[in-house]
Amino acid sequence: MALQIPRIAFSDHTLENGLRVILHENTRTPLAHLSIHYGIGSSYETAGLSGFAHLFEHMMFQGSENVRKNEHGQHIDRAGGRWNASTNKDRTNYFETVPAHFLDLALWLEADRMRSLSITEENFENQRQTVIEEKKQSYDNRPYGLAFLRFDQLAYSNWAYAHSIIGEVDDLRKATLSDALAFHKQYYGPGNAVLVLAGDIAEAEALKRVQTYFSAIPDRTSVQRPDLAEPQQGEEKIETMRDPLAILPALIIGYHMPPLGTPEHYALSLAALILSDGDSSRLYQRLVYENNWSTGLFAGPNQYRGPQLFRIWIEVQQGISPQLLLDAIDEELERIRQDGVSERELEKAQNQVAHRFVGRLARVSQVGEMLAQYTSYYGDPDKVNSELENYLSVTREDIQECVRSFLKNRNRTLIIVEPRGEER
Amino acid sequence: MKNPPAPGLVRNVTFPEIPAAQLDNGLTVLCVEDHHLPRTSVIVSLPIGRAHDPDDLRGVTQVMGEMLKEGTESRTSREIAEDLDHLAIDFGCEVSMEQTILSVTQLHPNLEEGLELLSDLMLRPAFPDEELTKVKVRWHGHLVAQRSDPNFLASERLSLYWYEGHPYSKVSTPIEHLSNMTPERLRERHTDCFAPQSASILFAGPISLGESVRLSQRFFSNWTGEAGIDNGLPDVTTRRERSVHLVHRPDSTQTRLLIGLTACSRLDQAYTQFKLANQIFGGGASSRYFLNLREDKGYTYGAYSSLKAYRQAGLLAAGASVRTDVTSDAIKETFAEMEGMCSGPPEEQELSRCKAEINGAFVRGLESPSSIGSLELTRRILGLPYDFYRSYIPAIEAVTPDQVSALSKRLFVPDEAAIVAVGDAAQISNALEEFGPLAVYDQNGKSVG
Repeated sequence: MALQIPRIAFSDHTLENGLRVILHENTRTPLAHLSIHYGIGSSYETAGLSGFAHLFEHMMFQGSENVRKNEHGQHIDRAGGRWNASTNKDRTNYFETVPAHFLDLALWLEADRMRSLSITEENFENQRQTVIEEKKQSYDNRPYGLAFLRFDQLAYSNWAYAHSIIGEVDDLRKATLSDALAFHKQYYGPGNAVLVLAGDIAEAEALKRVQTYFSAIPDRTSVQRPDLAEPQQGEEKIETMRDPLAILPALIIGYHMPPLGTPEHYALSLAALILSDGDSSRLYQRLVYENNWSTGLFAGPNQYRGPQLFRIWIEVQQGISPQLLLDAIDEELERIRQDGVSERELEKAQNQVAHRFVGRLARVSQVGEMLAQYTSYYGDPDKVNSELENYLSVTREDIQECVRSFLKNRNRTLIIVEPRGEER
Repeated sequence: MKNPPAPGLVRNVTFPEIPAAQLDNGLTVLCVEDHHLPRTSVIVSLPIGRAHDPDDLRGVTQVMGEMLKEGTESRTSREIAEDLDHLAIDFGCEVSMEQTILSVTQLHPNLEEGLELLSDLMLRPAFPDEELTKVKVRWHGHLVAQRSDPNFLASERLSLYWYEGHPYSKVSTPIEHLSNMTPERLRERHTDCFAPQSASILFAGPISLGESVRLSQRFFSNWTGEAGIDNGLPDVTTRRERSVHLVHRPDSTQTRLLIGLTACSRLDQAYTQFKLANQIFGGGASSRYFLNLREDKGYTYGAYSSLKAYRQAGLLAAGASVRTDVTSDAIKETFAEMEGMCSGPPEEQELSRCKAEINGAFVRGLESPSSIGSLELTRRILGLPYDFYRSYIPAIEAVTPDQVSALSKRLFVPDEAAIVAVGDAAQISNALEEFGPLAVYDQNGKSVG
């Protein structure tokens, strides 16, 4: 297949205060995407303050020296832009996609809340309530939600990844305004941030604009990356949970595997596509298409910067024993351990990766987020340009070897979700 | 710097001209040429949707679409899956209320293979009996599973009430209808829906109209047939009275609220005014509803409204998942915000923010050739004017505070609202009864009081 995939061009700068700045110019549409990734996620939290990194993300919209509560979003909305933020286990990101002529506005807003935070007890209480409702909406009141929260807790021995991003309600209730102010000082400074501008920007001029807004912000951060090391699992962990909101049973399975960006990650990502992506995949064919034991399934690494889990999620048809599915999965994995995957399967998985990669280049916001993530996780934005090659150089032997090493029952965590019983 | 910096020089953006041609069989060919990436989408649009499903076969168009990839005259289900997946060709069939979209998206070098598959699936499906049996079992599982989702239950209940007896109420498939879906009826449905005269095929990617026409001729010139159904729909009877509906979902930890009001059809001259009224009320995170229920009261993670406009009618639905113990307060605050919309015209600043939000979202959509293509196909299905999207931004800009105010007085009438709540009846029925006599349903949609 003759395919020319454009290289993502960028320039890489570090301001004197430590702010890493990555610029990517693309003038197709008059849009600019600003992304800031701070090196703080739930894995950095301390016991007793679970959920704080995410709660704090909410506080970043509650006011800074020159921007009052909720004005951040209003300024961007008034410019016709889009804004949001998210917290995961490894980082917190904030972004704005604006018409290119509003680039200065986005820079000013982000600089203001990096430099200063102006929040009140009342705002803090309000966001605490909001986050508790977010937990209910996303987990407690959703079928299988509590099983998902439980899963990392059961699978990981290291608290850093074991506890959830949303946190325990008791911990959320304990958090204080002064915790928030101290958190801002510790993590939210130029030395712990990566700023990416992508889109219709003139690079030299854009760098000057960044300097104008950010260079006077002193760096007061003191960040130690958490120890994410995960001890080897000795034996399989199994739990059964009853979910009164679920109508169908489900299985959540996880096998410990190496971090994002390792050769094993690329090999096992392709194994996941061969197992579960598309109607021709092995598990879909056997569990869904041929036998109708499942209504849907998904497999793949959980995309953590540190030690990952290769997760399999399966919704089970009514009246089917979960054990039947577990046995079938074991058999399918054994087939790969014994015979490997075919050349055609490998080619298929690599074609899928290539297509998706090209798809992500369609929007400057997605290109900007990719650059920010590679810089934030590895300090190297250029990794984005070798990413596809990392998948394309995986061999059949690599996949077989990784399935043998990692996808084995001793290394497995399993939650069986039983649905509610009698109709009430 | 105390104040926000001034904007720089505006670079305007316009909706592109989309050239069109027609094949001898009547198929319209369109092209959004864009050489940025080596990836092409081919989208076929048909003016048939869920609203046109027969009464005893709700969801049949979607099931028929699903069955296209379960066997053709020359390929088995397994072979189709293998051929699509091997070249990473994304095939999709989406059936909305009044439109069906079939598409393949692939890396550009695989375009011909994608088109060959699309034409085989569309024009030569076999509807094998044994495959249909399997699809129905899978569908049964989905239909059962979706009844645990509070968002689905709320929107289903609102639509069933709002459009009672009208095709627009066909948002979900009753499980018993699956048994009516035989190979014969799917074939009949296929013949009725797939007709080149009423269809358009759009290419989006590094390709010219000339090449799009050449490929369409190669793969679709033998497409024949005439649409066997009239896609006109009966008039909608407008709901203008208060009603309260509770879907009992045991063990719920929140109340999912959805409050419906009569709005306008997608073709209404005042559509842009309704869009702005919705944006001011609850269209985004800077809107009044969100700022009140979340940022002021802390009742919810998010409170939004949306305009769901079809060709003949539309409704505005405002909703939030709220703490169970504030169910009543949340409804009262929803009504208070509605009354606020009627109390006078919006400030110029608020209106201009909302215009920028709507126009900004529109411009972001123009980044991708396939989303430009989808807008154009929908414009054609709805019969909107040729320059609708080229004049979209000026039309939004032209709306005045007085227009919004006048319209709000007709739109935001709490006494005419349908309140739907999904939650645990033991916890919330009392709170709901404050707002009117309660109609109660179980999770399967059965009336229980």
